[in-house]
Amino acid sequence: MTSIRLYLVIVLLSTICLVNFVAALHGYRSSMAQADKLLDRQLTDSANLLAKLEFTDIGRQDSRDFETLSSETRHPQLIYPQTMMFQIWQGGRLLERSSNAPQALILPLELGFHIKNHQGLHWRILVQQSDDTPADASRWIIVGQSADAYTTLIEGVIFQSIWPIIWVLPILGVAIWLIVGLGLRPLRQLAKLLEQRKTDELSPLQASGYPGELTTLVESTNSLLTRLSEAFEREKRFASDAAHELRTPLAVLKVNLHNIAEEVGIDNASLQELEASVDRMGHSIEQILALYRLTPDKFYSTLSWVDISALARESIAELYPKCQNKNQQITLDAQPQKIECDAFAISTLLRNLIDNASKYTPTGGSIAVSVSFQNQAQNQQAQNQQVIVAVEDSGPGIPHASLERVFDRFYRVGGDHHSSGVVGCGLGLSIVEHIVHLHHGQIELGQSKELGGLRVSVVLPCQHAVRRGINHG
Amino acid sequence: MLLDAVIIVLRETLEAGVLVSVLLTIANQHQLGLRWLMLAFMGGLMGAVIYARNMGLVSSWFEYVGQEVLNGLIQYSIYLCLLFICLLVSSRLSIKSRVLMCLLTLTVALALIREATEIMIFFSGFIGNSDVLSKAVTSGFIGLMIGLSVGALCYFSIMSLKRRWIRPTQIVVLALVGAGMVAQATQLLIQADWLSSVAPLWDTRNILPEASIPGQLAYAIFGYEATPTPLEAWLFLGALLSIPLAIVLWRSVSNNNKSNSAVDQEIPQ
Repeated sequence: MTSIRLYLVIVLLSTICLVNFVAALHGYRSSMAQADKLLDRQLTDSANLLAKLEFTDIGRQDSRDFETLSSETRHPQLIYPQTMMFQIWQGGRLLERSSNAPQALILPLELGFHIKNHQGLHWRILVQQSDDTPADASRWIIVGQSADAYTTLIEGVIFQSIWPIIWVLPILGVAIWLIVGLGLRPLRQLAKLLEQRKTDELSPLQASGYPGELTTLVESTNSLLTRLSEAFEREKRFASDAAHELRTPLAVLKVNLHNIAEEVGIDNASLQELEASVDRMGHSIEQILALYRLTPDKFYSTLSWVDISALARESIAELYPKCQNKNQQITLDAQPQKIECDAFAISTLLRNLIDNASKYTPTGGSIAVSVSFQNQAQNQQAQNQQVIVAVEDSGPGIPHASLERVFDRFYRVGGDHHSSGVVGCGLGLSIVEHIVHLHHGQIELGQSKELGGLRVSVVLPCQHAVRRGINHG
Repeated sequence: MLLDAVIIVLRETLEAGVLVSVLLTIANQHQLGLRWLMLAFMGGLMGAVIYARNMGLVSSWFEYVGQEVLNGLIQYSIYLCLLFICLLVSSRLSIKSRVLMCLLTLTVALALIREATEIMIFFSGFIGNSDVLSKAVTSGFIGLMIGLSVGALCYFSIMSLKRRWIRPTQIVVLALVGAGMVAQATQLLIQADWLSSVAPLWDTRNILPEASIPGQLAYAIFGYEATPTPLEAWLFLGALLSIPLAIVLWRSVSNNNKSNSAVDQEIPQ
């Protein structure tokens, strides 16, 4: 079933059609049966009437008169329509007949009602024996009525009653469509209410004002929303508390490690590995905290217009010492342009991309950051403008087979034994993709034509999609 | 006249309505879409027009019993199609959608050729007399709407069943319709004197008249006839039982094949 409305319209219309037309057929049959009874009664009355008439002189009439003169002429008291005929027989002789009846017996003298074809018409005929004549004389009255005329009359009446049923069907279909639509309105309203909710809005729905059939659904939805809200709250608390609680002992651990190295006065490999592991753990905690800050419920409340080229400049400045340590050359090609975004998120995005480029670019390599703009459909309005942030490096790039997986959380090309030997936890690109998704942008990985390494290109709309009325579900 | 037109159209559309609705539920279950139905309708209606226009020629075949023989052959072909459809539907093997779709299309097209030809021939007799034709068309419309309504209700009734009951219901209805087709085809061949005619096995005209609405519905579902000959009755029973029997045989053969291949894999070469 693809649509409740369509289902109800088809089933209701089919049922109405079936009931109406079967009733019409039943009515037709009943009407015909009643009409037959009426016809039979009329034939019986006519036969009784003819039996009462005196035909004693007819036998002595001039046979020429009998053949040429109509019964109406011979008996002016006899008035009957052309749809009726009769014959009166006595002792094997025809006493009288209607002008449309043959002179021979129209059918064998068998008592009762019969159907006979005569002169191209269907006739219902009654054969009756008169009680008033002596048994030896045996007078037979044969009266017939055209069944075709009767049937045409009855069918005409039935058609007049069936036509409205047929004509009313399309109107009925439209009416059912509208009524069912009206009946389903509360369901549509509920769906719209749920659809229009913001991603962070987990408060229960209004519990009253719904039809009985929807109350259970609303109650179940509210129960689900409550459980979901509690689960989100637990998750947020856990991530936040865990990260904050780990930061302090980690800082203490780093200081103690430094002190041990100073006190012991050694610079052995194990201690260096231990320091690297602590750094890695610290990096992971910072990344997890960043992910927590970028949950949709926090994100939509922090949108503002920010100059993205300034953010790029700040990120480069922040990471410049790192690049300088590796003797890397970093350039920025950008024009001032404001976009509607979460400043912290875009800073995190830029830092992650530049940090990644620096990490995997060998000593003495190059990194190029650019911020450019483009208009969709040559429209100058802000809502159709996009900004393209590209970070290119002269590093080894990412093998084609790993391109799809690099956005997975905690995935690192080559695992923990990455050839670069740099500290990482596999969350950087995952966070970048998450930020791009929150801004309704696109991210693409490729090879840098100029530097030969990885090229990460991020396209972001200048005005956020939520403001442009695009559903972010 | 009114009743004749209603009965003729009702008889044909009820049968087609029930058959198409069950086949539609099968197509729905196997997500075959509706393209096959459009093709079947186009092919069936074109075939019916061609058949109706050449009815004189067809009738002169086989010493003037061509119409009965051809109609009988169409009915037997529909039964064979239904048999294969039941086998495919009940098969535990992955169904080849294309084969199923071809069978569904062929069945509906053949049924339409058979049913629509009768209706066309009936109404062609009124062409030239607009008053009578309009009455006949109105009466036919009543029959058509009853047939379509029963078809639609049949479709939604099957679709509203619990999932595990849908397939058995489809097979039972198709087996009944198929057996009815065989009985009708046999009757046609008896009319054509291709099969010997003997006294009817029973007479249920007083209990369920063929011309009544329940009688028509029974005719549409399982080819009800008030006065069947022994041959018709036996063939009906045989055709009805052949479908479940074929399904059981098919399953046992495929099960044997599966176990044989499993044993072959286990035995080291």
